[in-house]
Amino acid sequence: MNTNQTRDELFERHLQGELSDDEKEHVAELLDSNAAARQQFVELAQWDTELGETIRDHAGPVDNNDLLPSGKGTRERGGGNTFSISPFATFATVTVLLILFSSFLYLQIRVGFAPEEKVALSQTASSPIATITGLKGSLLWTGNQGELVLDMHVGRELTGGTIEGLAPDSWFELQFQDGSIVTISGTSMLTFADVGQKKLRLKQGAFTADVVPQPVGKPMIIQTPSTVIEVVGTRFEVEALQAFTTVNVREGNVRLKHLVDGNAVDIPADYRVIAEAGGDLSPMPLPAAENYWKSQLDVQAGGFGKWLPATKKRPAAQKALPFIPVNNPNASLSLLSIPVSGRNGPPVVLTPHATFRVRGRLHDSAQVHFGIAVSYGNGEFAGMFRGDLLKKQPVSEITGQKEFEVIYQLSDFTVDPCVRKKQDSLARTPDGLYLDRLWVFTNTGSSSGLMVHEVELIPGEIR
Amino acid sequence: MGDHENKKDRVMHAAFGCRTELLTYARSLLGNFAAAEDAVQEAMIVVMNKYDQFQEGTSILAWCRSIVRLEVLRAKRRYQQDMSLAQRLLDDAVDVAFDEFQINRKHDESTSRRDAIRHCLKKITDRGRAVLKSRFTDELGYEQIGDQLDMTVEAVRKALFRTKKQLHSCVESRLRVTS
Repeated sequence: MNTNQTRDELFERHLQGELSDDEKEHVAELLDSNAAARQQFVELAQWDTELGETIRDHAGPVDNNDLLPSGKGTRERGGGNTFSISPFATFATVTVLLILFSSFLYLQIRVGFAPEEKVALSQTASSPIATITGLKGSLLWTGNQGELVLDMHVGRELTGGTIEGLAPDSWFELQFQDGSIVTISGTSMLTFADVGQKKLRLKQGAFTADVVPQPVGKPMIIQTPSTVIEVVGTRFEVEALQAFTTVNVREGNVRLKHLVDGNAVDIPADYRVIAEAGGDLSPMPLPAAENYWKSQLDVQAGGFGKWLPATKKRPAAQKALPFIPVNNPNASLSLLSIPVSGRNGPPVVLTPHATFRVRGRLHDSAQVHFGIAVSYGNGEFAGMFRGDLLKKQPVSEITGQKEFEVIYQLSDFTVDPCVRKKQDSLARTPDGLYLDRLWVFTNTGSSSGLMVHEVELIPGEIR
Repeated sequence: MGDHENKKDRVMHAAFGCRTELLTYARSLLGNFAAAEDAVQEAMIVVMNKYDQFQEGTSILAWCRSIVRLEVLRAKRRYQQDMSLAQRLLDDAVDVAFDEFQINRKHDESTSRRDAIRHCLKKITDRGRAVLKSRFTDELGYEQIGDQLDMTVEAVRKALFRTKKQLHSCVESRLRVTS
């Protein structure tokens, strides 16, 4: 099979939704890197759809006979010889039919999902174990019975299940009935249950907990892809990636067990452990905070987006992905995020005159929006701020290499509109707080090709 | 008829004129014909309600595609369709490809192509037509088509590829003859 034939088959299977994740990544890379392949893909998709439409128009509710040669029952739809309807009448009829059909579809979808019914069923099936005490951004909760909860609000009681933060600015705080509080932020996934003993599984992302003393012999258990953590009563943060887990302990004592080799370690207050395959589990003092920070995108950064290794033509980058915010379904963003504190490096504290410098690429000049999430010294969530709202954000012009650079002064940062309702309990300004993560996005209505090569936090203003 | 009604007619007419292009785009993002048709239908309702936001003189296809894009993302969310990293990357790459290369065929050209396809469909084997119908109308995979038509997966794959190629050549030569 030649290259074009292989590609055609791959593209054809994509149009039928049959590609594996590896094949999807391969096709994405091919389209990203090869203009001829993009053209071939669009032309093939167009031809395949025209052909498919014609065949589907012919097929109707009956069988293959519809496609038999003329004289064996061929039915010409829309052909000039069959019906004689003016174009305007056809247009009007199609419009009316579309409205009716769409209304019917809408009703079907509403009836099909009926989330309220499913939630009601689940709540009779098992008792609530925790209450939502704070939330923001795009979140999805799946209960133990498999039901999806769309109506998330503060005060809602939940049975065990999985909470998923879908965006870099997602944040969710849950209080168990004994008063223990857990918080996830950013793109994270946490499964929780409490049947006499609290068991949580952090599949990915960042999580903080303030745990009241647990019953003797029944510590809170937290599992990540690489570790098991036992908590009797303490305040700590966990960040889980596939390769390693970071645990920072602020108060009390945490026992961490490495799943790969079974080694265990007790982590005292003000110490941290970074558990990775073959790594040392010895607790290290929490490092002193720094005011300068620069992204290290030459290694996989985590966060939201696709990490792209360096090539001859461009440095390593975090590439934005399409995203629709829950609170603004008419917007289609290109969004990426980069985690900051909580990794191997020291915590990063923001100073009043700090400046962010963002460098990256865009297909065309566009407004580049910028936000940050911060925490207090004890690891508690402190708020989210935007660097692009106080002054009208200018369009970031691109150079011949499609590169852009944009500067954000910390003194221009304002509270992210999404957390204004919680303003009384959150910080009013970000200076003096710990920088957890940042996000960058464009809102151009289509893919902007946004990617970021470097973000630098400079303690003083750039002159 | 007022200016608004005139504009509405013009926008709707132009939007329906690129329905196949929009269907192609939606299908490339959803991987399913029926779901793509639903998304385009939902988008047409939006076009009808927001026609006054269209800036005449700009590309109707690009404007409608941005509406279809939102409907596609809504559909993905509604049906909890895979939104893995690989899928998001692919969606993004597909989006860029359509921005760059999709063109809006003229009405006459589309009609001629459709007629040519109908004509050429009559010229292929019964087995070829059956494979195409199973693939497009029933949206079956290679294995299911093989089970249904008593063919091996490899035979289905080859039949599908050859039949489409044969049809493509037939359509192109017929269009050359009739133009």
